[in-house]
Amino acid sequence: MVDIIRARGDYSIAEYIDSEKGTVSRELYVNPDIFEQEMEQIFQRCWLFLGHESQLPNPGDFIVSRMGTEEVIVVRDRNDNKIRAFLNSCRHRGMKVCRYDEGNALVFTCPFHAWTYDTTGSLVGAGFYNRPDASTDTLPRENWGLSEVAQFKNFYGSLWATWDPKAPSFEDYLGPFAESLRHCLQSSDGEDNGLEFFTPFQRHRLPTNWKVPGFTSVTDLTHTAMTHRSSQAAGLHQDRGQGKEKPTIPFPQEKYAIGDHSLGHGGMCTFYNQAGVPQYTNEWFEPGVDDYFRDATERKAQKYVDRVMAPHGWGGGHFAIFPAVMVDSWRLRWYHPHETGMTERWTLSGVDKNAPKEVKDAVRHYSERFNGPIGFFESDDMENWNYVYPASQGARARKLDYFFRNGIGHGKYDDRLPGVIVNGSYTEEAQRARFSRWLAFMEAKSWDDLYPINKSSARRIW
Amino acid sequence: MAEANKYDLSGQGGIQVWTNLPDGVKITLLNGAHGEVIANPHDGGFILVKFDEFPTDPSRVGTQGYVFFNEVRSAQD
Amino acid sequence: MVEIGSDRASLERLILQQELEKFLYREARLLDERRLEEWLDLLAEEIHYWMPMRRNVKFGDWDREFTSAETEINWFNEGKEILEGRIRQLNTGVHWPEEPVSRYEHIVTNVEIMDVTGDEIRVNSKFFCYQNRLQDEVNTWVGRREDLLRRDAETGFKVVKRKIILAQNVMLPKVVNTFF
Ligand code: FES
Ligand SMILES: [Fe+2]
Repeated sequence: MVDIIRARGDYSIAEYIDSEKGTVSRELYVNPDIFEQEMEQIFQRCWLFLGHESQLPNPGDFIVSRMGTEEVIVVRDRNDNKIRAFLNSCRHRGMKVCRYDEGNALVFTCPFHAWTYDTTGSLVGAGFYNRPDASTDTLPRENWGLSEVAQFKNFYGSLWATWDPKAPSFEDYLGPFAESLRHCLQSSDGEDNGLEFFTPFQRHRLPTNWKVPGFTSVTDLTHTAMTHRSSQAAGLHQDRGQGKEKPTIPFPQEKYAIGDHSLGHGGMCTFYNQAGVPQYTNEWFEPGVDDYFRDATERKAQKYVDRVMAPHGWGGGHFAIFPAVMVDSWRLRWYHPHETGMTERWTLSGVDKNAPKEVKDAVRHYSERFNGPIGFFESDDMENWNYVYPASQGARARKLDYFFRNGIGHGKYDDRLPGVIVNGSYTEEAQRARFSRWLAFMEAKSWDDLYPINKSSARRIW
Repeated sequence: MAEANKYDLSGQGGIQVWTNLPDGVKITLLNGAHGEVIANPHDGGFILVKFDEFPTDPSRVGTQGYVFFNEVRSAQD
Repeated sequence: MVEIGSDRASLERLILQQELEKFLYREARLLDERRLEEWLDLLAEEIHYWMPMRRNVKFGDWDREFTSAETEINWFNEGKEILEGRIRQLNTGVHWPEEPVSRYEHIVTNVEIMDVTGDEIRVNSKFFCYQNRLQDEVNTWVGRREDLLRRDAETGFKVVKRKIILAQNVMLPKVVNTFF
């Protein structure tokens, strides 16, 4: 598997990353052979994000989501109410079984020859299987259900799956970030699984390699001032957060760029140095909204009297789960590779389940105008992420390397997130951690080589 | 008699009748089985039926099963 | 043969049709000529500017097709203040997906008066928007609009409500930096 890379002769994949110089070959972003190998060795093995349970509240509800380049049907069974996920490909001759984005289904009927699957993925019928001259005693139906993910996890309402039966549990896969993710799925008053997510997914195409937004921009504080110049100049930052009042009671906290070189996760995290939660400061300036959040924050503070909040990306930062999910305290954004130079970008925004309508509306409208292809803030990023690709792809350009050296050698381990390197917030620690894990996946023959992490042999590549 | 014609499954028109067959309609299969529509996915393929008669396999009386359009002789209220 | 002059109501209708077309064409021209503030001036203060997303749904499941402006995520779903902000951003000269600026051509057609109530007119139209940028970046948006216009002494009409029905599911262009 490792030697499918032909474009640069017999380089081993490790040679594309120079840990001394802090560079990554552009080849990793533009080479279709590497892309194919990633689909096999990363997207077939990793835990991937599918959506949120609030998108399918009723028995029979389904959504179509993606895992890498492929579609999956995520469906709540009509009988046991369990959510399962299946490849959206008919077992007969591969037709796309479900062509809807969402709905409520009794069965999924293939429009080709009517192979029909129920909400547990079982094959319950096939066209004309009952005809005596069809010899359908040759179809053992129990073996021909839809291809189900190997492992599925409902983690505080968020839905995840992997195709690899040997992948570790979702919590082990996340390591110390499990608590961070759990925290981000709490409502603002500190209830677990306290969010609902606005439907539907915001989806748009981005002509670039998936690692441009997924790795390069995993936490990229140095891009903000320049990339988002126009949002700032136009005063579009004045709502939500950027117009935030300064707290009168300071809370001891530190912001770092962090990277877990063993697991690949990392990003921009705030560490909280004492129990409790920081004082709420007005940031919405819409009737009732700040009042609601101030109140909720006080209720949360009571739950955290003697609990320290897990490090997370509150207040402009986010952390990322390997390979390509960005997590904030109010939204998830993730990237689906389509081909070497084409990515689809999805966003889901959440709000407290129990919030009143005016609060839900404020958060929803903010998400509409902030995120995605029409979001004034995120549209800034798209130009840069897009044109990185054609400008890196040529025969000359691809022989150069990308610079990921900021802060190299200055990171240190931190007890608050065991195994994670903590570094200055303008460093590229999180990007480097992603490449460390990327390399491990690309070299590994199976999950046996990837987990458990053998600390003594785990190679921190830079 | 006029009632029974409401669910005429023959010919071109029968395709739409089958696709939209409402819950509760009684259907008779070519093999003599008889049952009631429990749920119709409205996709023109299989319909979920609960059987109250099943001469060729009495163990299926009281069970539910998916029925394909070509197995059905008639449908009536 | 109909004697046009003999039927006052049809004559008025014809003039109104003409006025509406003139207004909608002018709107498109202002967008293409990058006169965005002048375009803004054609929108009522209380405008609801709405472009829902569109789902692939089962035949007949039509109430699921368009996202709700009240409870779901939409492409555009906003008032004048946000539109003003977008135009401020486009006019900074440093909004990278529009720097250098795009060549847009908005083609408006199929203008149909649906209803006239006093000063308010419901008018439907279709648009074809072509974007050409840098050397070879090309995007198109095609769809229709359901407008509520109000007569206005200064600008002829103001757009009070606009529902933009885009023939698209996943947004295929990486960004949308024009208006419809
Ligand atoms: S491909 Fe699905 S039934 Fe044949
Ligand atoms: Fe950005």
